[in-house]
Amino acid sequence: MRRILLTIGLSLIWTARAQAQTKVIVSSDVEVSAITQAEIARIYLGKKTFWDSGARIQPSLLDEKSPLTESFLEENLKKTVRQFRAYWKRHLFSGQGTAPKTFASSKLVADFVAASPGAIGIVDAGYTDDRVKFIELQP
Amino acid sequence: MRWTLVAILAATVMASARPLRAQYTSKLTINGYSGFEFEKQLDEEGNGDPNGSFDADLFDLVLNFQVTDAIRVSTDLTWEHGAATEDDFGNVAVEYAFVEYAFSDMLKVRVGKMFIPFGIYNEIHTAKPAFLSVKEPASTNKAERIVDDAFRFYPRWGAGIAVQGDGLIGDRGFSYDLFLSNGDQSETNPFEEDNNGAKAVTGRFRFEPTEALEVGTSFYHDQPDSDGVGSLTSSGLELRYQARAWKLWAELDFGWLDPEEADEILQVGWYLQPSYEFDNGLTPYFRLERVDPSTDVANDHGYDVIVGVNYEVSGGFMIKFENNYFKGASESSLAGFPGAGYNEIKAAVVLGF
Repeated sequence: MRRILLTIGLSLIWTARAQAQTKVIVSSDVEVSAITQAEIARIYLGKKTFWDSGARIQPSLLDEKSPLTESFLEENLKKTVRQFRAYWKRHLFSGQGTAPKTFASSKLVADFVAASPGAIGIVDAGYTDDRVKFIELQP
Repeated sequence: MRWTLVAILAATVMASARPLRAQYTSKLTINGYSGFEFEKQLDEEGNGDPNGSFDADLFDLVLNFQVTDAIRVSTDLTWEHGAATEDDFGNVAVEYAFVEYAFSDMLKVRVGKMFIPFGIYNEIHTAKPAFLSVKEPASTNKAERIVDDAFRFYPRWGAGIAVQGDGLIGDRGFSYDLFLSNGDQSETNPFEEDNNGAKAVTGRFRFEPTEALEVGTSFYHDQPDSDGVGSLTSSGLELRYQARAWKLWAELDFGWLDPEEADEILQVGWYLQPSYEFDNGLTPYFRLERVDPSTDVANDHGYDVIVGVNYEVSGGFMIKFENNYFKGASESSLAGFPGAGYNEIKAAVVLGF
């Protein structure tokens, strides 16, 4: 029993750690203050492309070489970087839509989000920027 | 004169030096893919390529233009087999070109030329970086490549009006497609004119009961009114399952062909494709395919057994190698070959960008 509790405890700590590595930002016109893991998965898989306001969602994240992207995808989309890439190749080439924009740094993600109505981005948890809105990611 | 040139040059440079924001507001996204293939039949007799041929298979440009939040234009333009129109070699084609109006994620309307939304592979069959094997499964997509008597369950493209959408049932995702098109025809351009009053109808519904599993069903009906075919009705089941590095794709299709002057034919095609993805990008795969061109005729079925490996060298750049073992039953078109079958190796280098 103690071993089971320990395993559950460690899993929760690991999950919290992975979540804590990234933060979600949106452009100032987006009227949300929190988003669920399920919603963010649907956004980054191109299944939810509109905010409730009717504005188009423009997703962005750090490029696939970033360990933050790796942990974000595994934690929220349950996909490896390669699986995410393969998913979007099928989606893109069959005419379903275009993949989220990727950038080399949190600053560049924030530049994009700040300049793009309806944009959402994933940045390093330590990143701060007054031009964008930080929102809560809920389980 | 010199100052005029300098002024023109400066104006050109200034005009092209757009502010940083411009790159974010660009509404055009350009992607594409290319593929190079090699095929060689290993046995002396068979339906494969006895010489071993290089094939400059394709180069495609995929363009998406987000006109407004609701309106998108999407197209895939292809140049196949080293297209050289002067010599009538290869193929230049519009794979799809449509305008989409999105009322919401649940309701998007498209008009134009599109892939028929049936099963897993038809909408990605030209995009070789989007799947593991060198070719799409013949049993469900080009059944006549396994046994001669087989027919296709549906045409590859159609022109018409489609509605589609993504949504949730409870907390599980689903998607649907419904497409009304001119249907298949051989004597008139099906993307311009219908040669009969009956429209082809395609439908597909997909559901994700768990995060790892997606199941779906497709339907196609047409009254082609050509080549002596009264009607073609097909239905299909699809499954995609992923458990960590293991992946399984499978499809089962039924096709009812109703010739005008003969009895109805039921054709059945299916495949199972398990694969395992290693961390280094190497993915061995296996695919067992079977097509039975007529369930009323005994022993006319054929198999394609594929063992292959896909190596993703880096993002979107893949090398593929596989052996196809075609094997037919005693009454199939493969029965005349020694051992009633043959082997063919296929290789490809593909890039998606």
